[in-house]
Amino acid sequence: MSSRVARGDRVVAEVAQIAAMPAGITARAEAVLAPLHRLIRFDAARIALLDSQRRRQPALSSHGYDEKIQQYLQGPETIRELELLGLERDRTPLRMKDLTICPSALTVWREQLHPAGFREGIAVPLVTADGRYLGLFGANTVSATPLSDAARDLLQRLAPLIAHAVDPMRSITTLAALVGDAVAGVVLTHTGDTVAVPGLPGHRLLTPGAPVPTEAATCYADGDTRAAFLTPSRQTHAAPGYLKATMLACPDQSPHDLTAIVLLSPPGDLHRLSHREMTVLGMLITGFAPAQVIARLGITAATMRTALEHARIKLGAPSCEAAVMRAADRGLYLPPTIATPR
Amino acid sequence: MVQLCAADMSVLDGPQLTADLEEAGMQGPRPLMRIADLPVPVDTLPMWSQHLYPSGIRQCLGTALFAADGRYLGAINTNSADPRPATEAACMLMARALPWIAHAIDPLRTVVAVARLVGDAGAGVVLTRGGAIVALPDHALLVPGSRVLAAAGARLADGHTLTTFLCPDPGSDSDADPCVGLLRVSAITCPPAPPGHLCAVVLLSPPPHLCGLTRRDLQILGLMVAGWPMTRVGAALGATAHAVTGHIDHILTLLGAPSRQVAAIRALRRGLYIPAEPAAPPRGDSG
Repeated sequence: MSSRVARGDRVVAEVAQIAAMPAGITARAEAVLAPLHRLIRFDAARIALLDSQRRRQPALSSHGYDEKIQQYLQGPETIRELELLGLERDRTPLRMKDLTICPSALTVWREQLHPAGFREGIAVPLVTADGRYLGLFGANTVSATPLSDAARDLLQRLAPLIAHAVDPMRSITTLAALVGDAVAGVVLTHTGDTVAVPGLPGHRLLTPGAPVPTEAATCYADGDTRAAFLTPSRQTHAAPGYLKATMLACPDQSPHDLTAIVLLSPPGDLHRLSHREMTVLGMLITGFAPAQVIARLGITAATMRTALEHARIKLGAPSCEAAVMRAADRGLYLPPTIATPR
Repeated sequence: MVQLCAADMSVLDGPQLTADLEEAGMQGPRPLMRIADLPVPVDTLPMWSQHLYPSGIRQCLGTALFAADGRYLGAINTNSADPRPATEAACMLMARALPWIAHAIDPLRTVVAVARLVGDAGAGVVLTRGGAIVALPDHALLVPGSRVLAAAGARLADGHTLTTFLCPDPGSDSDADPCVGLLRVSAITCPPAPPGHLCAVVLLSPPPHLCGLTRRDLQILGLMVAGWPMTRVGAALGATAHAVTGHIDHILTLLGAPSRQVAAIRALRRGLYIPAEPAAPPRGDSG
């Protein structure tokens, strides 16, 4: 018994070490399967992350399943059956022998895993320390002998560590930390929804469909990997102020459901630019022709030229082109989708 | 509980402690040391005789901290007014925890996590406040004083935390395929963390999708990004105004931009430009 405990401790230590590796999540998922194999001697196993909005559960690492089964396991049918089993809700590992229903009631078992020769298996939900359900570690054996209770309990203890090893949000928080003074942030998803950034509060300006995330999503869709712009903070009881919005494209990693982060931070030095100057700059930066700027803002050509010239002097730029460039680079402008006439 | 006064605390951060630790043989891989384990008499260490002992400290337990890859990180030291040395069991437990303590405080972890944001990086350096360089896999373009580092440093000094641009790879002189012989440079400011001397990482990776832009287009975009007027762009490249206009039409089409200004902004945000060299503008190859 004591040797089993020692072996369990060694596996925990090894998985913790892998979770701390600087490699990407795919490499860590691959590495984590080795100590898990020593623990449970599986014949096939996979670690998969759930893309809940697109109903996919692609594998980060998969061994021992043929192409057909892999396709099935990452599809919506499997996800639906896992939900029926309550895996995402109960968050405890489930062996075939623990099922309260007949295994053949599960299509994935009846039509895929059982015909492939598998007779037992375990599914371990991967939930992070801060309570996010990421996906699962699943393993199958050809032998019909179920995994011992002790091994199942150990897997339950290991689940948060495995989750940490394959958590795509870790690189997102590293990215978010680049804007050191961020006061709020969200992650944009492919479907236009938003997800919280661990460790950062949300903000009413960042609710899905609001102008700031919409403008950030437009910049991302244009192919920009980063962009910055201003937004009025719209605090009615305080002096009119601004916040800087920064969009940073997420690293390209499985399950590819997160596109970019949007962070709000204090605006920094605004060079005493006026609201109108920042509005004119914003229209030129987003591609309006000068004639369109005049028409849209209802100002004369001379007023626009004056605003631009003032902005040039305030930004210390040698030319109007350079001033627009500098404003775009430093995010010192109000995009037309966000600027309110003043 | 012994309270160290502010003066004693500041001494613990200073060079005297480092000197004493070296004297005590604590800057190499050593086991944990209590007073009795020190290779030199404890009274000969000024830190002990002048600061710790007079403030009532009678025992200590400490050792050096090393990262898993062998880098020396610093020291861990606990002091107590209780003169009884730590038990062997306590020492063994602490010894087992040392790699984890080292991992928890390793400042390069943040830097490595930042560097991982550029997933396909082939080389990189860490810029330090003193201007020195801690090499990741290094590269000829990333030696101190190189133009790439100067360009990256200028962008970061301008208040940017993240900047990407392209540069020609000196290892390759093929002009035929613009993808060949170009490298993407990413410079990222490290979030501030103690000891505070690591300020940025500069990484080299394969270029992104170039949207069909030629090497010359990327040079012109570099000048546009720097805010050069069109007349100077032509002069700098040794090309006629007509030729430059032709290039710019090409660029606007490829980037789907309605104006030169928008093209330059897109190039800047996607890192699709070769930065202008302030001292020696790129010479034309006959336009």
